[in-house]
Amino acid sequence: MCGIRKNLFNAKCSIILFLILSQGVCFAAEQATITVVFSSDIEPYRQSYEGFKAFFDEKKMALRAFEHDLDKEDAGVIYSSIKKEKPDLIFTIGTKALQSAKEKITDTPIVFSMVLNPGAMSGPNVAGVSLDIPPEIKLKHIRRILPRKKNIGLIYSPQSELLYEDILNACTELKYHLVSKKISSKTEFPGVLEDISPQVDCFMMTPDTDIYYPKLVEYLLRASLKDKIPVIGLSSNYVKAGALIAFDCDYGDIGNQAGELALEILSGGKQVNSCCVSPRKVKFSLNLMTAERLGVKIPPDIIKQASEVFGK
Amino acid sequence: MNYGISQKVSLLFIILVVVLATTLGYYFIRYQKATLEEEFDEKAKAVLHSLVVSVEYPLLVEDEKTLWILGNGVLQQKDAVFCEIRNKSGKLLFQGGSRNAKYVTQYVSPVLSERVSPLVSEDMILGSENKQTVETGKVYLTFSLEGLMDKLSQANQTIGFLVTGWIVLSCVLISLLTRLILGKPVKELMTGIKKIAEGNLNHKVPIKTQDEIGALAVSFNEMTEHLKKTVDNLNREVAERKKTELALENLNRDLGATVQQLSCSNSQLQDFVHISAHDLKTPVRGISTLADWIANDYGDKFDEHGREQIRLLKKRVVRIDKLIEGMLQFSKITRNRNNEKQVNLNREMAELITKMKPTDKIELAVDSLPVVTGERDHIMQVFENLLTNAVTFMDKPKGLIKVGCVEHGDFWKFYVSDNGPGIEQRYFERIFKIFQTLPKHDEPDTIGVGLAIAKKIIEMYGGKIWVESDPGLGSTFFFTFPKQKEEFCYERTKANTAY
Repeated sequence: MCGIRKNLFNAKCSIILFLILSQGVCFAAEQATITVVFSSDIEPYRQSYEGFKAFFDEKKMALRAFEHDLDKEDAGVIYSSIKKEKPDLIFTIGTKALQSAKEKITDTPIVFSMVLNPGAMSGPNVAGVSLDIPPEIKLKHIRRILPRKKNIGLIYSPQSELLYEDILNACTELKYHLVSKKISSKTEFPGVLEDISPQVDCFMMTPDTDIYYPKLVEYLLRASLKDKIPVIGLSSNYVKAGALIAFDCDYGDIGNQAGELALEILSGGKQVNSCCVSPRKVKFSLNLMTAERLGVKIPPDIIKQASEVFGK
Repeated sequence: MNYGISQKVSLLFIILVVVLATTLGYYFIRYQKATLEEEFDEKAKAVLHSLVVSVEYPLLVEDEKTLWILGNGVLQQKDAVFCEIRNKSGKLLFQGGSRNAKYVTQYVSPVLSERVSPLVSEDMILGSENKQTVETGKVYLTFSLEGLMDKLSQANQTIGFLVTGWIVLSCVLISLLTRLILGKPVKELMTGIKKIAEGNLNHKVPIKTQDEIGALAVSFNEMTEHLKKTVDNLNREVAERKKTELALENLNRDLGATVQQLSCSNSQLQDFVHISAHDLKTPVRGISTLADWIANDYGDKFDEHGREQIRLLKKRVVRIDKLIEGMLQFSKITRNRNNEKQVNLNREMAELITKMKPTDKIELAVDSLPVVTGERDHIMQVFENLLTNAVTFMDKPKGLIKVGCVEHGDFWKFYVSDNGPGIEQRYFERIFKIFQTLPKHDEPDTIGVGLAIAKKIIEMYGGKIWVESDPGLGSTFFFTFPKQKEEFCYERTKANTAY
């Protein structure tokens, strides 16, 4: 096995993928050396990593892990350490970790997790689990929770244009009417929101950092209460702040998914190349006080299904 | 110009009050200025901060209408005179107020907004605290300082008025209090001192305060009382002393007269003795000559008894002549300071012994003797008389006479000892009196003048002469003689006489 690994390091970049796959066939899944790179030390990332480790524990597979945190260590130092550690796989948690690993590491498979919109960071040795919940899943939940809402408002910028297309496709598929407007600057947001408000039953936020400054989120939530338009937030934090509903992933399960993916890659059963999977567990949270102020009635069985309920 | 102590103390306190008040006034003005400036600054910053917080959203979306409302709202605040709000690129979104105020200060603050970095877009979902802060614009707020300056001016005036008032009031109070507490008692004390200095020791200082001046007055009154008693005692003593002096003066006068009389009597007596002795000598010699003639012319006509009578007569006449000679010698001894000089006793003693020619039966041992100051004849007369006595009355076949000297304080203590017949103690005083001789030594040659002359000379020099003797074994004559001049030694004489 070691001989194969040495050959893998000596290969040219153009045949990295082939060699990875060849090496995978020969991998005797007894012990894996994996380097874990954190974007920062926050609880969701830790949950993801715990899920990752739990998967290997379930499989009773020895995991030799090296942990690095980009917030605490210099990236250069981390990647020179990684070269010495010679891991079988690099597991990154968060966008920053993936981006740096993708730039520095070309000859080792990288499995990422907790990354939004990972399409922009695809690569031949990169695979992982996205943080994006597929729009159709969200819409299906919305249909269940807010069955009367048919017109969904959306404001997007060039940054979130790809996501917009996904949402548009999902809406078309599930027969929702998407009232959308593209803006080039956040300054247009209030005006556009005012324009589309009369036409929509609820408003869906997108993870767009160019638009959703905290102050604009505040404005949006105030406007939603004023115009009685429910806001579908990006996570339970937004629900807590005043959005009606939001969908969240199970971060531990994302790690578990990433573990599965890693094992498959290490054992050669999965192609690495830009393989990206969506989170398989989706949960939602509700704000009952917002619902009351908006005049939205949510059935009790739905409330029971919610992972978090605010404003009881 | 002379100032009283209360005025000086008042002046000192007034200077202190003025310095203190000025310092405090200056400090208060500084403090007030700093406080007002700080208040102004805090207020301005609070207004600015409030505006910055308020304009964050309208600036983010460049809502000029809201910015106009907020901008004009802030210009309603006191002292706010001019306001500008610009976006990140410097575009003017609001401008209001006037730039014409004379004294102004401008506050500038960036308007910051939080956002999630595109590099960690998942933070939008995960709710991380790690947000990026971006500047979305700037707020320029100008405040007029005229209100602050008016306040400062008013504060300065108030403090100046208070300080001046305080100084004036303090000066008046200090002046009154000092006069009351210090000036009045000191004045009373001074009045008392003046009266006492003028001789009125019955005056009492009427201060009954419990402070140092009161204590001083009490002490002063006690001192006056004591002084009065002392003066009374002194007056009494002076009176007594005057009386004593008068008595002493009378006594001195009487004593002077007595001394003069005594001197005169002494002189007369000396003259009388001298004249008498001189006058007596001629008839005594006549009697002697007559006795000789009788013995020569009629000696063969007398029987043995008659010749014996003539011899006795002759012997008596000779003795009378010796007595007269001794009397003359004794009366001639007087002290003449002009003849005093240093006398080397070793040399003089050697000459004296040569002159005396003692017999072989007598051994004369002389120790080393000092050099003394005095009249040579007097000193050597003493030694000669003492040695003559020792030689004359030596009864031992091997006579031994010793002469020596020891130091005895400021005196020399001389001795002349012999192993002769000795003298009974009862004659120790008598032998120094003129014409007094010992019964068994009543020889024709001795008339009892030698020791009396020696005593007179020694006492004339402030010394003392005495004898110690064991009958049958010998006698030792001691006498003291001053080492230095008489004036010095005279002072010591009294002590010496105690031996």
